[in-house]
Amino acid sequence: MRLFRSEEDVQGWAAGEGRPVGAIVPVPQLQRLARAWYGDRLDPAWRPRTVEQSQRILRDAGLTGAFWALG
Amino acid sequence: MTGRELALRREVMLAFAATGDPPAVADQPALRALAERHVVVLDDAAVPPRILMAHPFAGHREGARVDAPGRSWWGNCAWDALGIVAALGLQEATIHADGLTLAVRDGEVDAGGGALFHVAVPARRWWEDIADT
Repeated sequence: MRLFRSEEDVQGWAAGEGRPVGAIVPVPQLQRLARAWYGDRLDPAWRPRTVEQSQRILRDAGLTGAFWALG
Repeated sequence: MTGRELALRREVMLAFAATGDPPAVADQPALRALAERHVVVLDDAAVPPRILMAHPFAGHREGARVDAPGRSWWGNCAWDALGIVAALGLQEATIHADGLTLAVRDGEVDAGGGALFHVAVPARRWWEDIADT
């Protein structure tokens, strides 16, 4: 997982690594995901999430489809 | 997860939050149990094993850095860095990741000049090699 300046830079990186382009997430969407995924990590009531709960967080952040399937 | 494991996990997270670094852990069986649950990632080459990751925090310095006035924390990537901002409730911070800088003001990240986060590995395979996702 890496941050890039542009889609062209992503494609250049992928070509250089000989890997396919995966999924690209704009920074504001990434922050929405990070809040939901990690926002409770210091909460004393934190408990491990189920796969279904994690999948719901991805879906609610707009990350759907086979690439984002956890199980 | 047992009460002992939950307590150790909380100790680890609070240490990262307070110092940016993982604590030394005496309870190695509980630490190993946390690693098996992917709550922490250990550097098994160290003796005793050192905590490399407790997402969103990282004990290594090869990923992203979050700077707030007088303080810094480290994560594996920009996702983790924004996770640190969220977990700590930071309102003002600067994130350095992959040679780019993101500013957080009033709790909101700027668009990073259109910066894009690339995930190379499909989600179901992240834990095959969590250092290459």
